Amino acid sequence: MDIAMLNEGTYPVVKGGVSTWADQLIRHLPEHRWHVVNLVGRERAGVWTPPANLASTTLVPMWDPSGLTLGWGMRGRDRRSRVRNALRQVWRAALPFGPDQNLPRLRAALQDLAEPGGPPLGHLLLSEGSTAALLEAWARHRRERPHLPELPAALAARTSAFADRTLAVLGAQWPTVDVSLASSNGPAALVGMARLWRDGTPMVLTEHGVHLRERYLALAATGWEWSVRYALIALSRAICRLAYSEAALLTPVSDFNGRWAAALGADPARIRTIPNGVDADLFPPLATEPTDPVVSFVGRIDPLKDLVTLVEAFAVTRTRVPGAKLRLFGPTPVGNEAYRARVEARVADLGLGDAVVFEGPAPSARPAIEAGQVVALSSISEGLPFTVLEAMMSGRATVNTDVGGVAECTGTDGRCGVVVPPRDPDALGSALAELLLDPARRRAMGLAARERALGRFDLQVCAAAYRDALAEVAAPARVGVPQWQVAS
Amino acid sequence: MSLSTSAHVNQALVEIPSTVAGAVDEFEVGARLEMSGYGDRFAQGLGYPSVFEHAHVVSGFAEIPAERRRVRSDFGEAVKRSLFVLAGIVLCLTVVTGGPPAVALTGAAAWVGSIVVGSVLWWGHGRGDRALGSRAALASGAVVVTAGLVGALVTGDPAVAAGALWGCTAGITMIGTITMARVVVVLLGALVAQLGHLLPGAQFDQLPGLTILVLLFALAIAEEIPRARGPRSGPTSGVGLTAALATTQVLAQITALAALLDDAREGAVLVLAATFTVTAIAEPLLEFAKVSMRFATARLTDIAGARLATGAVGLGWSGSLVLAGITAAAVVSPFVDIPLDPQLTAITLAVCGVISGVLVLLGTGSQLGAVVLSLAAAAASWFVDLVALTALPWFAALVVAAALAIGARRLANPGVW
Repeated sequence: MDIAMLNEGTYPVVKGGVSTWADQLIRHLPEHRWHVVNLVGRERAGVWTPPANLASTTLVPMWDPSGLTLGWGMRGRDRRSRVRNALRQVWRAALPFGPDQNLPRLRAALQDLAEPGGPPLGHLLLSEGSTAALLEAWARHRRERPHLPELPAALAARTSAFADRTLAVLGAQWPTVDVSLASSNGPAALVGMARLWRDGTPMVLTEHGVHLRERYLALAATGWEWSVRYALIALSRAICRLAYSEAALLTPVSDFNGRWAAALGADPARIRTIPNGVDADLFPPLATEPTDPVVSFVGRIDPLKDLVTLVEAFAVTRTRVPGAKLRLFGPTPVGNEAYRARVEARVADLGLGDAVVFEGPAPSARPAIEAGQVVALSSISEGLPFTVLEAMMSGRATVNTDVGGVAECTGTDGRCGVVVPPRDPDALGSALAELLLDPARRRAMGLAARERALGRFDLQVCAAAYRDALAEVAAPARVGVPQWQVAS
Repeated sequence: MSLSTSAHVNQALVEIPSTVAGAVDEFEVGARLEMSGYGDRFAQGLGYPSVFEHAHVVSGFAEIPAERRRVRSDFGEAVKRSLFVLAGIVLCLTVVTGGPPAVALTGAAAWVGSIVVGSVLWWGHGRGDRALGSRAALASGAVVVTAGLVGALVTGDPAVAAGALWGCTAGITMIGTITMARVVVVLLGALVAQLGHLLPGAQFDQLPGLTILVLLFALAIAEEIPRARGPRSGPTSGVGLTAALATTQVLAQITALAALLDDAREGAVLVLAATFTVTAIAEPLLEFAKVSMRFATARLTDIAGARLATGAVGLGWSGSLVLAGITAAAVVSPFVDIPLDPQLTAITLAVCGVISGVLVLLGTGSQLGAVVLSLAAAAASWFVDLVALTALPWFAALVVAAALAIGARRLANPGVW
């Protein structure tokens, strides 16, 4: 079977959680030929060794400047007209007025945009653009919601610039496959839906982090005008809801993600949680632990990891375990230098000095897990974090913040790992101290964690679940009639 | 676990309003609550089934913040760029020893250098791959400077090499922020070079200008080399096309200018004065157009009104460039004792129209459009020069009309708002 994996900015151009999952899945389903389609920004160079069954990789640049368009209406007049009308319908669906007919309207409009032929969709969207459609839809939408501010043309243009880049992925070209697996909602799912409408290729949609939830948080952090965020989120929400309804199967990595999908209108009957898996052979139980009281952290230096809270928590730990050390393993991504400086400043403020060590990137999570008596996770947002699963598989005690699917990893009874509220240094610091001071409890927790990881988060289990899901979705589609042909 | 301790709840009561302020809907409120540690379990501790129900209740705190409609302006930056370009032109002119052909060659070398080097650097910026852009800029700069040196040897005029040096310097410096110190150096350099030019002593007149141009070039290169060593993040496809398009565009413009100057004969100095003026004031005028456009689009909420207003701004921008050019020619005319007759007026208008149209297209992100216009202008100019000199007024009118239309159309496109 030929399977397309639809990614957004992940495998094969960056390392990390989703990319690890993608690489594992391709390697552990060797009976299938895989085609990776990745929506990329700046990163274009592959950083993974391609598995033998990776048949093709298609990179779709989302943010490249396009200085080569003429901008004149010389070609594809009919197509332009259809695109203009489709954009009007897209925004009417995203910013509705009157009875809710959003999804059918949005589906029809996006199908129009995805229709092959004529000038490339990206060029058409750059020369046509959504601004007029958005202004019109906003004015209608506002009639029902008079509390909304007016949308000036400048803000509509700015919103459209981003929205049109997203919609342009509907025109992406990639190999013919039997089934597509989108690793996130949003643009990646749009790519899959375009193919579904063109030739009936069914789509499985998984989510590691909840795409829309992350969009909310990312847009809130931009400081952009409220109306720009409102319009962009309205479009994202509509697309995500449509993807939930169009996907043959939803396979979130955690029930937490599934709960968001259901809240956004996904049919619970089509949600099947498939947790991430860890290769038990690569993470055998650790026989020893460091003699010193060391807490280790594995992950990038990033505000979402909330290392400021971890440092503050560690200061609490040190009041009870004066000799404790905190070792932070992970890279500082470009753009996060200021955040790292903030963390370092907090270390200095709290007088922690040499007790906190920035170790830099580790070749894998294993040495970082091995370095600590306890592994800590202080994130404020997570899907189903590999670092927690890998630490559990290695038989290490963990203390984690209760975000995303973390509690699904460890359970909530404290036997296989401790969960504490996020942004609560006292709770995190106390939990770390208690484990550092109690070797027997650490050992028992490590054993229980390993047992739980083998039962629920083994890579073979994960791969088998995807094998079944993909086969189940692809089978009826092979005898079905392509929807696109029906529509035309 | 210390969930729902009274301290945590009290902290929540204080924090939640600010946590959810400005959220666009209940889902965003939910996401923010979860991210702040007030997820499902906290909501259940308060008696809600989940964070979504809690979010529904507290979303009342998420008031829509008032939005200020500020219009940002970079006039200072634009004026700095304008002064930089003008001073550079003066510097180049101070080292010319030959007649009009040497001036034309010097100008062409500077023009090619600035456009080609600037284009590939800009391409690198746009792709987020400054290192690749810098490498391409250094490589293309080396080609231009070598060509300039060969030109200087062939013509015996060092100004040709100086023009190439200046073009590359300007191409590198104009991408990014120009420091005031750099502008002052160029202005003082131009002043010193002018003084050297005016003072008696044959050996002194070129030396200051050449020295300053070489130093500025060395400084620009020294700044660019470390950037070229930075990490690359993408394939190189596209940079060659960008360089080729930039070269085609500028050579086509030079061809058009050469054809029209051929008809201007001794009045070429007026046309060149107009050309320099249009080039130098383009930046401040562009900034003024952008501010006007932002002012209009920040207030208008209907597409037709916004298009009309921005189209008018574009019309004004293009028209102002042409007007500035013809005014410069008219002002210079009595000083050089060359009357601005109808034919010279038509040529000046045509040249200014082409430059205006190309600058508007480049300023609004259409490199291909700029190339097409330049090629069309080159072909038409040669046709007029060789076959239909009597059509010159019509040609000028057509070019100016096209420039105005381009200005209006490009700025009325929401893509450039």
